[in-house]
Amino acid sequence: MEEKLLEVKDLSVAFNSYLGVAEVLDRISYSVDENQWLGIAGESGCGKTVSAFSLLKLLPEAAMIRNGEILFKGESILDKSEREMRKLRGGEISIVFQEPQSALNPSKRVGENIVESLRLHQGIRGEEAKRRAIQMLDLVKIPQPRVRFSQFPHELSGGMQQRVCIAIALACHPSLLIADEFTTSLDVTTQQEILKLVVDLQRQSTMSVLFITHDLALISECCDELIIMYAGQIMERGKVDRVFRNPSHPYTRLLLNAIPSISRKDEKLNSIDGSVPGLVNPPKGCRFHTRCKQKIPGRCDVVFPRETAIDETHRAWCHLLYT
Amino acid sequence: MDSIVSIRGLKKYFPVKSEALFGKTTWNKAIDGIDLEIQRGEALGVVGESGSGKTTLGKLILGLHAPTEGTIDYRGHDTGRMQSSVVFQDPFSSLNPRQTVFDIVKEPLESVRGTRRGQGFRQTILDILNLVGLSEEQMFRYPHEFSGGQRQRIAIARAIVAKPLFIVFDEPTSGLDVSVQAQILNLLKELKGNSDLSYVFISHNIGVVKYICSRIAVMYRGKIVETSGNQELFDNPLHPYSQHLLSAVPVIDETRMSKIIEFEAKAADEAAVSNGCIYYSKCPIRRDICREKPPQRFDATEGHSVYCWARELDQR
Repeated sequence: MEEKLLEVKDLSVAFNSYLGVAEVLDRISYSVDENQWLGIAGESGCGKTVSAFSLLKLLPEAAMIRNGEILFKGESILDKSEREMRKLRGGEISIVFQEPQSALNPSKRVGENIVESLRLHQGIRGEEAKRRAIQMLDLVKIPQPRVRFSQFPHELSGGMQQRVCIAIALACHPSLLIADEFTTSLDVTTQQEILKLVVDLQRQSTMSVLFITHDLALISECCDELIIMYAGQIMERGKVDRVFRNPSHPYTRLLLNAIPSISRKDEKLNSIDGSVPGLVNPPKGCRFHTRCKQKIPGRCDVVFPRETAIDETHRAWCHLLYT
Repeated sequence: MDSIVSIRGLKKYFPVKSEALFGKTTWNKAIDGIDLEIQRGEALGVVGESGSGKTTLGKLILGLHAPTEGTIDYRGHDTGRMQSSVVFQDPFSSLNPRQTVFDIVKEPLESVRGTRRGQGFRQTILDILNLVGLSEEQMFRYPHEFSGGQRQRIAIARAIVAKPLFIVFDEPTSGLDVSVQAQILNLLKELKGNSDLSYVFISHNIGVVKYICSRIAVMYRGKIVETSGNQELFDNPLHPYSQHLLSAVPVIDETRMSKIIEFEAKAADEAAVSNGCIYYSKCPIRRDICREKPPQRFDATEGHSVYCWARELDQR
């Protein structure tokens, strides 16, 4: 079996908050293969972003890793020192955030934002760094890269700023790109352009992408596999076409029917009653049981269900799937 | 048909002061010449990208901005009903944190009936709260005790309580999760039913607009480029911008990354923008005339109009 690029095993993360301890991630496990697009989907507060930030050890101080391990290329991330992490971040693993305005340093020119990462990770300086930075701007299809190089971030539109962020993230040829809702603040037409750009760039290189989004349609357009999360637990995972064709968890089915899509005819949307539960004293067992119409009292609200294989890669965690 | 709002030649320019001391003021043309009718009982969707002027149009219709030029005629005040009300995107900032749900929902009733005695409204308010899915014991709570979806229900209760002729919804579900969004959309659809209440529904989420609305207007840079019946727009979009926009909307389906119609980025042609069609520099089907004269409204079929020279010339 080929080695996994990234493996997350039984990861549990909790946050100290003024209301008590919030159990944000509850024993989640997943892996990313080389050259793979993995989508993580879920509603707000389900732990998508926390699971990505824990890969880079970027969690805030209130966070506690309770349990589990994270292996990147076979090495444990949780055991690494801050100095080692700094080399990893932006080098082997990079991240693109939702808001390009706050991800770029506003007091530095666009070019310096890129050169900084080249200097830190690859020791490239001076004219060579400038040449590489302009090359990167050209790669992400920014028109007039030489002019843009010496402009400030605020002079660029949101879509152009996000292109710059992508250029920075890809400058050091990472093996894993974490894309955290990176098209959410953009207009649909710009979103489609940016997504296509990253798909094209990924095809030209050996890079895996961990794509975090609340938009299942975007995942269907670019990911190989996806994970559906709810309130800090994984509900279902598998190849994108299999999961969308044969959603096996009640939550996935409800979620798919709750999306108003332009390809729908006039059928009624399926709403899910209630809202996502608070994570301080979360529901016991499967956390979706409080909103699930098919719950089995005495089981769903007691223990988390075990893994059920639907096919080779398709897995779901639900008591209804076995007896 | 019976129109309740009739908009003619509407323009709204915002001044943009130059940074230089005696610099020249330029104008941001947020709304640049719009004609639109809102029919009684229809749900009109307004879609477009950020900066296309959707929200400004909504505010002009509500009278929250004064137009720079053009007119908005309202009909039906004689019915004694409230003219209009609004539901905003962010239910955290649009509800007064120091008022209870009861007080929030009571306010429109007081302004319509001109009385300050609250208790008589109790039953009316309770009925409205039940209608939007809130219970009696929640009536005297404060907004911070509710989730985002519930707050949006309170805002909707406030909007419908005085039986307005039309309601402007400005991105009412953008801040909500998918599962909660579906609850609110179903509620809005139910409330509307077959009543003569009209909706103006502004959203960048075209799937949401398709679900709620009976007619859709597509905006681009301060102008309406196409208006059409709901399904017609998706079956047969006529304006090249509408086609581009619709092709970019992600859809769950197994043929991946194949739909986007890619346009060659052409350098912006400012002469065309000020004299001719605003979409000239990006348009794949442009003609010479598009550079010189702004397109006029062209009715392709009954209820489907487009502002595009190429489409008009093709059908002549």
